[in-house]
Order: sequence, then C-alpha cells, then structure tokens
Amino acid sequence: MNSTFDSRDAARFLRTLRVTTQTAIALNDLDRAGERVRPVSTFAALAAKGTEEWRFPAAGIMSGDGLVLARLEHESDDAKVLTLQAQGVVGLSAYAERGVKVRLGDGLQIEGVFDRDGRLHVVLDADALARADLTRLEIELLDARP
Amino acid sequence: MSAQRAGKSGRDIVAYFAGHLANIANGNDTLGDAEEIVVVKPFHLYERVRRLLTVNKRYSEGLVGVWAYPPPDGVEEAAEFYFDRVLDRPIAARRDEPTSADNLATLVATRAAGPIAPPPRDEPLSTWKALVGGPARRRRFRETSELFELSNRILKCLDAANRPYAETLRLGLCPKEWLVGDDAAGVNTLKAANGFLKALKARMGDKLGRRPSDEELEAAFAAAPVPGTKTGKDFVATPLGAAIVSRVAGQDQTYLLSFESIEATQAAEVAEEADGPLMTQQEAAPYLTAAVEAGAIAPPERDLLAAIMAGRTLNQALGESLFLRRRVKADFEGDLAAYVEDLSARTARFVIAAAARP
Repeated sequence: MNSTFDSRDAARFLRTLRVTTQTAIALNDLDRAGERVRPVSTFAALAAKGTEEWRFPAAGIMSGDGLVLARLEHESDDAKVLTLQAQGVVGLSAYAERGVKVRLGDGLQIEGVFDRDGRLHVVLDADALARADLTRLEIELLDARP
Repeated sequence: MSAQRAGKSGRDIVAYFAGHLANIANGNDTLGDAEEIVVVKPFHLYERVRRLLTVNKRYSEGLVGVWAYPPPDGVEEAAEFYFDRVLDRPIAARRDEPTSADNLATLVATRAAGPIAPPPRDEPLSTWKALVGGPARRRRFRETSELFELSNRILKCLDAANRPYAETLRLGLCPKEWLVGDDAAGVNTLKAANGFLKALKARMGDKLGRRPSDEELEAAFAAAPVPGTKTGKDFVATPLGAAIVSRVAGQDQTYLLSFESIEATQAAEVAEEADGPLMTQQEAAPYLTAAVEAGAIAPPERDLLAAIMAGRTLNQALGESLFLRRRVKADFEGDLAAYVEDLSARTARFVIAAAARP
C-alpha cells in the first residue's frame, strides 16, 4: 500500500509516538529499579585468592542483578579499597544514598552508605583481607526506600 | 522489516529525558499508585537530576556530551553547564505569546493541592523554573494520558532550550566555548554550520583526519551556505569555521567517534512542529494500520504501540504475545526498551516517508 498523510497530522502522530514511547521507556526504567533491587544482591563472578595476592578482574565484577559494579583498588601496602558503583538509571535509583551491609566471605561484614552518585568505598586493611574470603561477596540493603 | 540486532540507540534521548523528568517530578519512582499527592522539593529534585546527568553514561555521553569538554572540565562541570544553559535557560516569548515554559507552568499550576506563589514576571521562565516553581504540594498526574501531556510540555521546552547545545555537540565542539562569550554562535548559525559540515563530509568521502581542499570547501558551501559569509573560504576564516575544519582535520579519534555517536543520537531526523494536542489512540490507529500494510511493522507490533499510546506500561503492552517476546529475546537480548525504541524508529521512518510523498 502506498499511504500518504497530511503533513500536519503526520507531525502530530510523530510527536505522539515520540512522547508516549519515551515516557513509557523512562517509567519502565524507574520501575525496574524498584523491581530488580533485592534486599540481598550477590555478585555473579567471584574473585579468587592466589597464594599471595587477590586476583580481582581489572574491569571489576558485576552484581547478579546487574545494578552494581565492584572494583578492588590498591590504596597502600596495608590496605585496599573495594569500590562499589551503582550502574545506570536503575542502579542509581536503587542504591544512591542508601545504607548497605557488605559481606565478604563468611566472617567479614562492613556497613556503609552509597553516596549521592551511587558510589561506596569500603577500605579493607591487610588484616581483614587476610581473614576475608572472596568466595562470597554480597550487599544487603539496610534501610527502607526513602 | 529489519530483524537485525539493534541496541539502545538513544535516537531520541531528549524525549527520553523529558519522560524521565515527568516521571520523577510526578513521584512515580518513590510513591505508590494509590498515593494522590506529590511534594516537590526543588533541591532534592535538582540533586537527582544532577546525579543522573553525571553518573548515567547515556546522559553524560549522549545528552551532556562530556567528551566535548577539554580538561580540566569533567563530567561535573559539563553537567552543571548543561543544567544552566539548557534546563535553566530562560525561554523567550515570540510575539507576546505564552512560551513553552509558560504552558508547562500553567499545566503544573492546575495540580496545586496547597498554596501557590505568584509566578515571577520579571524574566522569562526556564524549563526548570516552570517545573519546580509552581505549587510544592501537587495532585499527581495519575492517568497516563495526563502524564504524557506533562512529558509533552517538558519536551516542547527542551526541544527549544536544548537545540543550540545539541547543534554545538553535533559539530563536535564544546558548548561551553561556543554558547557563551565573545565567539558565541546563534542557533541558526550552528544549524547552518551543521549543514555545511554534513556537505563537507560527503565531499570528503567521509574520510576525515585531513584538511579539506579548497574545491571541497567551496562545493560544500555551495550546497549548504552559512549565513553571514559569502564563500567557503570566508566561513573557514571565522572562528567557528576554523574550529570545525580543525576538528575535521584532527587525528583525535575520540572526537571523531563521539561526533558519529552524537550525530546518530541527536540528529534532527524528526524535526516536527506539531502544534495540536497529542493524538488519541483512535486518531493514531490509521497510521499504525498503514505501517502494517506497508510491511514496516508487524501486526503484533502495531498492537504493542497502540497499547503504549493508550497508556499501558511496556510490560502490560507486551502482554502474552509470543511473537513479541521471541523478538525481544532473540534480537534485543531481552532489552524491551531497546526493542520499543527500534520499533518507534521504524514506524517514524515509514510515516515521514509517507508524509513526504506528493
């Protein structure tokens, strides 16, 4: 079929298409933040500990729900920093300015608050690193949604 | 119709941003469906918008264009400049008619559920002041058609306020350098310069990274002249023309790649000037039917778009359609939003082509 449309009506249709689809997509992204975030989020790929050094992927590891990226960064000889960064609109909506408990292995638990940019730095001293076992890394939301 | 994989294109990131602002200002991310009142706290909202612009890559790259800002400016400075120059840019009136920001403020004022301060009359409203400057306590836009109208009015503001910024990014230039100060260029000059750049790239066979010849410059200028100059040589002697040619001739792949990216994101592909209200589902139906008959979209895709236009959420609109679910999974890796963007773009291309036919 070779349709033709009045240009003014076609412009109204295009605007309607543009507004409705993009508003629905934005709402979908915000809803996903509410649905996808779980009280406890476990990281899908786990770091390994060699004989002397942690082997943590340079690109970091992503939580199972895809909302938080964890990176292990060197601070000094005695300490390392585990940086957690919420990802995208969904991750930010879910984690920014919210308190969490970070669990490393079976024994180490550290509480912290994601900043307004969805970032949380957890300083791990050598002692803690020696005791911790990154066969388990998870974060648990502590507070109710603001 | 194309079945190829298409990621989130960001083709219309300005409309997405408008939809995002409408949803956030309406409390859709924090309030339950049953709650009728939203309390708008400007600074709180500002913090959330600033955070989105800086941390969300889709915004920082596609809308703010942090890649165009030379050091020491980073994403914070770029987002701050974007806020000042786009969201909080006063929108001037033409012929004493209400501006798009006035129309947004009028809509917001109709939702007052408490005291409302008189609007400031000494300067034109910006998108931001129209959105947050009305009543603090508001009845929420609970019908989706109402929310679409809020989003529509925000988008009308952004279409006006964002244009100079987007045109500067499309040139691969830093908005902070070209929208303020002695060398500031007007929006019409920026639009014409983009036309010139497009013609120049075509003349150069899209092989950038070298200085164009005089013949290429003059041929491009003949195809797309820039007001205020008489020849291609004259134009490239201006600060703006010189900056464009330097960018074209540069070896900085970051800028070149980013330019291609922004070209796809903010190209004025759907430069509609629709004055009327948004269409109802019934009014839109013939366009969707024609798109199906022309093979631009499939019948289940027509139903999906019709449901979205009727105010259903994406998941509700997707329903139980096996055709749609398979397509989202197979061609879009389960990313429903990317699929809807692709579908919307295909439909828009069909209608634009059909409307252009004599």
